[in-house]
Amino acid sequence: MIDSVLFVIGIAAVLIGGVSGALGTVMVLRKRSLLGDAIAHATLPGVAIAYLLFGKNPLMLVIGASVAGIIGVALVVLITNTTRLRTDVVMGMMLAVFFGVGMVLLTYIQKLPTTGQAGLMSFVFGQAAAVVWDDVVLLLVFGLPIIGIVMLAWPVVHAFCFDQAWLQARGLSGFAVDIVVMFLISVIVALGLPMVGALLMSALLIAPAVAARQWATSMSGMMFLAAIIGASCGIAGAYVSATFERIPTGPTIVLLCVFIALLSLVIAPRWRAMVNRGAV
Amino acid sequence: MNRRQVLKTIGLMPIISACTPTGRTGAGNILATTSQIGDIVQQLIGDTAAHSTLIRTGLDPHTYKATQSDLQRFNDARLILYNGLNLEASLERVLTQMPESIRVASLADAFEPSELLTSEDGNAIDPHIWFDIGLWRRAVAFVANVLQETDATLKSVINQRLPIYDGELVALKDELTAQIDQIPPARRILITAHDAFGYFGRAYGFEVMGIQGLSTATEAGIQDMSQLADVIVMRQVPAVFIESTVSPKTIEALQAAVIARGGNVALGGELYSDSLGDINTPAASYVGMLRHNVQTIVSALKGDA
Amino acid sequence: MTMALSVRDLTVAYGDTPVLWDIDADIPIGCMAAIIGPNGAGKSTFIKAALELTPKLTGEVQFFGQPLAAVRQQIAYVPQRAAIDWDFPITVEEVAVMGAYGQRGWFRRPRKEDYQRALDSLEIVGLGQYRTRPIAQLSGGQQQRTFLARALVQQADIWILDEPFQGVDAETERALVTVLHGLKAKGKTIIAVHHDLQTLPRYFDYLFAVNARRVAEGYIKDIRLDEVIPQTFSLVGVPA
Repeated sequence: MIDSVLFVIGIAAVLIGGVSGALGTVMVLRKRSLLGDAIAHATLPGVAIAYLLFGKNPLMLVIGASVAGIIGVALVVLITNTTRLRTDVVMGMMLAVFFGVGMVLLTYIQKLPTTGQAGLMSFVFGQAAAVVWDDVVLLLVFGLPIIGIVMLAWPVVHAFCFDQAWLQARGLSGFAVDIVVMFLISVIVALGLPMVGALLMSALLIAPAVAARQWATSMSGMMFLAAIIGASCGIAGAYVSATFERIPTGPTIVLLCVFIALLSLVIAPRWRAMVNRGAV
Repeated sequence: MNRRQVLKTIGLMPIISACTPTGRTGAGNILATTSQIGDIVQQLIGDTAAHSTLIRTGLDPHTYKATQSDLQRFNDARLILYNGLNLEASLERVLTQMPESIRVASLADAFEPSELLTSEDGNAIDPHIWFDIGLWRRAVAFVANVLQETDATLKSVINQRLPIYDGELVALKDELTAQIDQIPPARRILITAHDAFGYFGRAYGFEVMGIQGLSTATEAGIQDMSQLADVIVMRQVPAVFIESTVSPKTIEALQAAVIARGGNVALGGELYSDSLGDINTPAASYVGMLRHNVQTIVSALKGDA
Repeated sequence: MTMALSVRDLTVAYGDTPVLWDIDADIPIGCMAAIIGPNGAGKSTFIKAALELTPKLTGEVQFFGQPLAAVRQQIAYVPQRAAIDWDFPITVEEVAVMGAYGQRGWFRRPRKEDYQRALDSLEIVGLGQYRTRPIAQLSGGQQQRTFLARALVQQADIWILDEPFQGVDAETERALVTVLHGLKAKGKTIIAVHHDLQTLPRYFDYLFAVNARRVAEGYIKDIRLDEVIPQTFSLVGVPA
């Protein structure tokens, strides 16, 4: 009989880790790793505004976070395309500005005449222990279709990551695909906030993909492996948090992902060298 | 003004403002950080001098961040009273660096370390001292002293009110103890959102457990949740309690975990942990707050004794 | 008569600088056309503007008498090599099979016959034995041949290549020319930005010379190369 808390949080962790790993692959291959961090930080004002408008409704908070993430990134795209600033510069600025605005709003919210906290700060740092079955349902309803979309439109995603110019020559707007990808990332980031918080979410997007990159020879293989790694670290992190006292779940998952990434970076080249020597 | 003059004026402003003396003696506000401390001041001096509370009721002092207007209030005060022991975590650094002209006093100085509770690993001191009436009476005396030292004109009103209030607190202690006696010892298990009630447990014979640790900034792990759920099921704890300053999400998750184990636990009601209640509620004063808490706890836990 | 590529009044500017000015072109079907001109003369810009990869200020472009959107499937574009991340995890045959993407809608994955066509294309360009090789391990010439194989899989009627022989070894160049001539023999149209004037008359049969403006256009057999080439390469910019 599995502990119900571990069960619920474990499933959530597997879903978040798996989908983040898969989507993170797209980001890492397109060399836009900062994007995940930018989106995660941008969600904060969205959470605050959603709370101001709709109260503690978890669905609206997720939607608010997604919308804010997408607006932030759209602004980055706009500014990058109309000025001569580089993408990473604009992303860094947007990340800081949005997060700052979010913190200002949260501080403002704490001054409002309503007793009791919304627990909004938990969106910054995560509070995995508070994840309940309703959160898992949200993940299933919004997270699984993300994977479905990627699999369905695989030729588009694959070509987009590898050779955007070719895709554009074939008549598809790279800009449109970019927006869709960023929207999907915003959604998964918003869904991951209760578990790991805005500050750590980008690690969950990037680390499994970085790890998978060391082993995979194709993008589909990399995405699959990244999803597996993310999901495994998710369940492992939940298990560790369930076995030892005072171990927070979210940070543990992230640490495991980063550990696997570092391990892969160190081991994979040596492994390949050994294989090559052995094969020859 | 041309651009140069404007820039010069803007550039000089920080210097100008730094030269202005801050803090006053004889006039100026008495500022308390938490509503509990604000209540002490209210009980001791009433409207004799201007006083106010920084952290509004319902707000969590553990995670409270000062805004620019708060800093202004600090600077306009002549006396700042705060809890210390890291309760107002993000304010302490500012408070310990206030200019000499503003008196800053921490309630922590009223106690010896040996009287205070520590966390499980011994690294932190439990700051929630107000739940032990004995300790709080000492805090009240301490504040009375500080107030008199700051403003001699308050001596008469304090000398008048202090003994009366102290007597009230002594009587309250007896009253609450009698109430709590209605709860069979086996059912004296108090489970809340964070470890705020350690002193309460020590004073009234409760086993106290919280989902989060001493500060609401900590994060609970799955093991902590599971252990609590197991305790609730094994010892048939009738109710758990949400807190007015903390999101109910974690307690609700705990309840779900208990139900998943085939057990049952009620939401016993809302307790005031790190703050008093709003004005115009019975819990707006320290005395009222303790009464409300004990009433809520007793009716939820006593069962059909 | 329908042209493979027909252009009228094409003007392209980057910011305030005009790169192409009032360009007209009529490139016939079935020829192998070279676009030549000095560096920065707008050769790459010309084909990118025609393919709507770069915005144009004015101008009308038609492929086979129709707008681009109607005939995209029939056009294979082989860009300059620089734009790819060579560390991308992808094998030679995966690049080749990408040519089949979108041919039956973008929500369909390639089928067995597409993989077979990819293999055939790789054989044609001489990369059959390299099919499972990651592209990071290829030489410059092999990389170029991989992208050519991809274009072959697209089964297009017009091939537009941007400096296809840039930086490749002699053997690769021979192989590429053989493939392109083979396509031409089947009635396909080849349009390539070309930099090597030495090989111009040997490889190509049609010429489009540009230096911000069109300098000359026509079948090479009808053109006085010894006049046109100096003319193309000595003009300086666009008259104000």
